[in-house]
Formats: sequence, structure tokens, C-alpha cells
Amino acid sequence: MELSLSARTVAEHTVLEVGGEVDVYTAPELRTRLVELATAGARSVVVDLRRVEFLDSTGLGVLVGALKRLHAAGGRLALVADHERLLKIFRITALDRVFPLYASVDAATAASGADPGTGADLGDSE
Amino acid sequence: MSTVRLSFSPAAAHVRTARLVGVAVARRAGVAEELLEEIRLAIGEACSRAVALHRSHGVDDLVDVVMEDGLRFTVRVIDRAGDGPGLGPPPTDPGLFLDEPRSGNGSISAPATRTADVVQVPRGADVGRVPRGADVGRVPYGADVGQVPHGSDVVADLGYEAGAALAGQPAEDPTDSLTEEVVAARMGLALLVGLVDDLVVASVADGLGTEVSMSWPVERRMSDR
Repeated sequence: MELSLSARTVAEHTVLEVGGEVDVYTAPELRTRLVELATAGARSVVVDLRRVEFLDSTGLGVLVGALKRLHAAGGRLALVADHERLLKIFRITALDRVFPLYASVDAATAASGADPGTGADLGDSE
Repeated sequence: MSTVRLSFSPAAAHVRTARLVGVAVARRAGVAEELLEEIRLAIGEACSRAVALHRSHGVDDLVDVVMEDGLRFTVRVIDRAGDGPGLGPPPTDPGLFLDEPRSGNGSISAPATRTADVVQVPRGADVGRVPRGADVGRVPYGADVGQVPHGSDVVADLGYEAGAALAGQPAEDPTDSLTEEVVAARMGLALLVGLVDDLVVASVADGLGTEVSMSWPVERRMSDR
């Protein structure tokens, strides 16, 4: 399945629903859309990955790039993923400690008032 | 034992094809269903790595994928991105980019490391050099566990990864130093190491390229072979 991208606004958040396969071939399209959203002024971006069937390292690189850009602009980026297949990828790469990960869009948007690092804070800080 | 070989031009669009073929062959070889997803990801990462290496070296040769079902289902992904003349000096340490951060990282503590029975070959972008004469050795890596310090700012975490733990580069300007491609390369290797128990990355016999070898158990035999 090809990549599908659909953005909508939920309160002050921009929710980008991603579906299909995010890989070395399709990731540039995801990057382009994320850049467009940030350029258009989105500061709280929630990337909903629940309909993603495949995610590789190229996709992870794009998400990391988006996170860095948004942080640089004072914004935040949260991810929504509920499938073990994807969660495992974030665990293996330790990116589960970098991205705020939520099981639902509601949870991601509800956490908006918190510090952007909340989702990544595992509670064992020094 | 039977063999399926696939060769493709080093284009991103073909990596998906390689994944699909790989999973189909694995399924037919009798690999357990629950392993197919990680095989799909591992073959994809190995092929993406090969494509990135070919691109960064300007090599148009085909990427080869050899799948064999014997006692185990074995996949070898072979790139032809050799360490030819004019490509600059080889890396000082093939495992450096996944090693612990260098000094200058301030308060960030050293990550946990473990060893793997692989030679990790840098791929893509600025690290696409194949270590000459590398066979199999033990190199430290910290990509799967514990390399991100807890409790600090997320950007700092990223900077840490960017500048040191994953990039293996000095961390003077960590948040700016890492391109998405390099992040992807690091993550790709982290995934390969994390997914494949017997990952081996070694120079091919003639030294012009590398071979990523990995295998999975075969639990049942198809009756019609």
C-alpha cells in the first residue's frame, strides 16, 4: 500500500494521519508534508501512525527531523501508535525515549499543556 | 535447499519489491509466521543500506539479494559500493558511530553498551566506507538500549544522539550536525542489530562492497517441495 497522508486540525493541534508504508521510497513525501505543516504555522503536530503498515529507518529519520524543526520553533511533535509492530521499532532504536508516544490522538492532544518532554521522560531523571 | 536470487538497480522504489519477495520466500521456506514481520523490516533495512551506499558512492551496479532455505532461512544482501580510489580515507573505527559519546558532552552520562557478533559497517552519507579486511569482530554498540539519558530535555537527548551516540561525531554542535539521512542510517543499523540474532556485515571477497548476512529458523517444511 502506498503512503497516505491526511491532515486535520483538532483544537490548536495539527493531526497528521499517516497510512500505508513509510519507507526509503515514500518517506520524502512524509517529510515534505511535515515541512509544509510547520511552514504553515503548525506548532503542535500529532502524527497518527496507527494506520501505518510498515515503518523503516528512513521514516524514523524524517520523524526525528520534524521533531527537531518543531522544537527549534518552540513547538512540539507527538506520535500516536498502538501496534506492537511499530512500538517495537521505537524501542529497538530507543526513540521511544525521544518521542512522546501516545495510544490515541485524544491522549496526545490532552497532553498538550504539558512540557514537550513529558512523553519522553521515563521518570528516572537524575 | 533452494535458492531465490534478486538483483535490482539501486533505487529506493525497488526496496519494497525486495521486501515483498523476501517475505514470500521466507513464508514458503517455512519460517514461523510471527517472524515474517521482522524479516520484512530487516530485509528492507539491509536493502536500504545497500541503495544508500551505492548512491553515496555513485555506483550503478545492481544490489544482489540471495535467499536460501536450508537448515535456516538465510538472506544475504550484497552491495557493490567499494572503497575505491578517491573516496577519502577509511573510517578510523567501523563501530565508532554507535559507540559511547566522546568527551565534551558535558553532563551526559555514558550509555550502556553491549557487544554484538557483527562488524558494523557505516552506511550512506558521510560514513559509507567499508573497512578493508574486516571479517567478523566484536564491536560495542549502544543503539538498542540506554543510550538516551533520562530526564533531560528532549532536544538535549536528540542532540546527544545526534552528536555522539549515534553519529559518532564530536558533539560541539550536536543538534545541527545530523541530517535525517544519517539518523536513518544509524537507526537502520540499530534495527538490524536489534532484529537479527546472527547479523554479520563483512567485506565481500574482492573487497568491493559488503555483504549483510542474516538468518532465521525454519520451523516447518512445505510439503510440496
